[in-house]
Amino acid sequence: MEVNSYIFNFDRMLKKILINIVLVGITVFVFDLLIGKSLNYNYFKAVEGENFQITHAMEKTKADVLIIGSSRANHHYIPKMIQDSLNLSCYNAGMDGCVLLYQNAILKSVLKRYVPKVIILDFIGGLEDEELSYDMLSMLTPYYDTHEEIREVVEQKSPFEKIKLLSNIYPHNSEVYNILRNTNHSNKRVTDNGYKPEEGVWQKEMDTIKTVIPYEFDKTILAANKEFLHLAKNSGAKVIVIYSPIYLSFKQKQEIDFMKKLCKEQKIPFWDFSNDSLFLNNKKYFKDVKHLNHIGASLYTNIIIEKLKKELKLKNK
Amino acid sequence: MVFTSFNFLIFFPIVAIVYYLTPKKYRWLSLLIASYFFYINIKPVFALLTIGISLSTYIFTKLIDNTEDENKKKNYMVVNIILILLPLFFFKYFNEINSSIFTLLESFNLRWPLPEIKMILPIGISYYTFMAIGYTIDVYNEEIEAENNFGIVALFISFFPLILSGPIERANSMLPQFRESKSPNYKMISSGLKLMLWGYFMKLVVADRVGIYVDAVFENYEFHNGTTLMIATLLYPFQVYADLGGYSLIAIGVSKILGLNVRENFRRPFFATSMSEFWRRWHMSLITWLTDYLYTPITFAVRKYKIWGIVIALMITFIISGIWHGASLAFVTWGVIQGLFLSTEALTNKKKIAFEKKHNLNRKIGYIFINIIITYVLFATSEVFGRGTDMSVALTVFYKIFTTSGEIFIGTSSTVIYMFVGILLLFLKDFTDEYYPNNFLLFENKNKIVRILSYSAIIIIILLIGVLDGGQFIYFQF
Repeated sequence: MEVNSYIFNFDRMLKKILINIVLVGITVFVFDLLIGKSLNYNYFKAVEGENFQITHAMEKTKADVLIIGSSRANHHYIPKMIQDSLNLSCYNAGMDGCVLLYQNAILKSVLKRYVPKVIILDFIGGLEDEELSYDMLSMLTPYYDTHEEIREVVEQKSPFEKIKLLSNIYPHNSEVYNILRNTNHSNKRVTDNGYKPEEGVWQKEMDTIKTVIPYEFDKTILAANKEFLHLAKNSGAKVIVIYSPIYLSFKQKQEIDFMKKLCKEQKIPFWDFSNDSLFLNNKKYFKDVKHLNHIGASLYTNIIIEKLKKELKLKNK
Repeated sequence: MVFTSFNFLIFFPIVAIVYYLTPKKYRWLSLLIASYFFYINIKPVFALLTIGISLSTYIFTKLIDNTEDENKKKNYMVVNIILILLPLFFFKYFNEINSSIFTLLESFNLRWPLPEIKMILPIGISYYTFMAIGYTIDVYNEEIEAENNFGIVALFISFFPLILSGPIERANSMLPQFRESKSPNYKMISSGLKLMLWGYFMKLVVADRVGIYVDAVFENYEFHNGTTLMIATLLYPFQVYADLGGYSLIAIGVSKILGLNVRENFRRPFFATSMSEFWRRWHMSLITWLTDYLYTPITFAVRKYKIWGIVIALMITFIISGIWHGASLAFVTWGVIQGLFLSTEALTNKKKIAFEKKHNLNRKIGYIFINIIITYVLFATSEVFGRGTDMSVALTVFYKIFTTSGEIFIGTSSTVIYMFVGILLLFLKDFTDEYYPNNFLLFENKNKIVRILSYSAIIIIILLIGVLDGGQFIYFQF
């Protein structure tokens, strides 16, 4: 008798809990669908901002010279100068905080549409097993549904990414404000084909040189790096890997040496500015220790243009 | 595997189902297996430590229980406490002692740099150490009998919802619950789910978001002006409250779903009108532990000094609390500051009460409001030392707050906006719970539609503005 009443109560309780969970589930599903779809619609209507830049890089640009990299790429290469000097259209697809995994996905999307004449990879290292490298793939989640070629890369973000992406809001997590701001035409700021200038001059003294202790490279990131070079090279584009100027020597010898070796194997030019005396410890060209200001970027882009002229001429010959 | 990981959302329902399907007699075993599975998945080697502490605690509490000789009892208790504390001291203070010696050697130019060995602190060690010590003392004081089942002692020390960050539970509350498991209960399960949901909100929407801003400021304190440092200082308590409070709620909620009642850890601390009240609302499980096992015995030992005895007990208790948080001069200073705040209140309490009575201030909203603000600012200020930074960093922050000013650092507008949305929602919930406990009910509303919409709204808010990965950092360019 007692057992029967226990089972009866248990069943009733379970039913009640399940009904409530299902009701919450349905409500969340409906709101997730409505809000998520509306965010997605507005995301792709952006007229400026990071979402505009990513969409432009992945879906629109047909630039002859494509610059791929992190924030250092974004703030170091001025497309207009390259365009005017080389008579080649140029787009800067560099993105703050995004390193090799992200860059590989961007390249895959670009190559699916067209082959640029020149692909410049601004290399900053980032081969270590750092959570941020994977977390930054969240920038690509809005493209997961429509861009089959990047799905594998996005799924590397976490083991349950596929399940999380069943939600319509999740791909736009923490992006509500940016989506609303970037779709507002009155906010439109002029950017030079992706390039965002850094204003200001580095003021602080930096008396210590940060040492990067030798570490083991992350296998997934390493594979992405190799795949990037392989895809870029085999696409027929002229590929150049650059370590752009830095305020102080970060002693990234391990990574630079590795990249140099990789480039040598693939017969890709590697331009190393990590110890360039023109920039090293020269505050006036820097906004902070890792990023050139606009004056520095102009000077550096001019140097790159000259080197590109030689490189491309050699090829033409 | 932390509570906010997706893995936990899969792990926990499985544990709950298996737990309730297990015959009552063996439910403790399913929880023990689940707890070790949980802990092993964080760092397998650390499970050896919990096994060791469980074994030592089990053996010594049995020895204490089985002897009539008071001296022997005391010796067993002391030996076990030393054994339990050894790993805590080793792991928690190893790096600190190392770096202090290195600094000393460097100052005499005697440092010869060789590759350093850094110890990783076993997760939860501070919490389960206190729980094991508390149990040992309780058995010694004959407040509880020593547990015969080693598995239940091991479960008490490694119970997965509590092992990461508490609440610090007591044996007399948990052991009977582990022994006699309850049948699934709608109220408990429903209340547990609500607590978990709000805990996730606090952690993901408030704590982690405020953390992005606060970390961007404090980790680059040398580049920020005093105004920004002051804002970050005032925001930091919200981060800690939402972080530890949120985690505690998830832990309490998880336990409730399993039919186990776990003590409250935070009770709307930012509505406290004095520091003593604040410490009755903040990290309550730690404070009651310290009160029972440290403050009360010390007060008893120094009772001949009357009010000054209380001051001595307060100072010692909070200095030890500081050291428990971490072995650094900054944490000791934090403890001293808390001790001073509370001692001052203890010394002036009678006069304060008389003054409030005379001017009938206790019911005046303005007076209450000012006291709340003062209490908050005092705590926020002391937390500059409680962030786990170096003393020199904490002093520089203070120096800059008082000597420099300028434009407030925003970083990323979206982070600041989401941060204030989260804080506002948390504040409103705490405000209504504090002053209008039976009004504006959402989770507890009689209308089912309101309840369902409230739960759903929180889930949607978490999806919209919760920090679901580490990709949302402030790109700080000095």
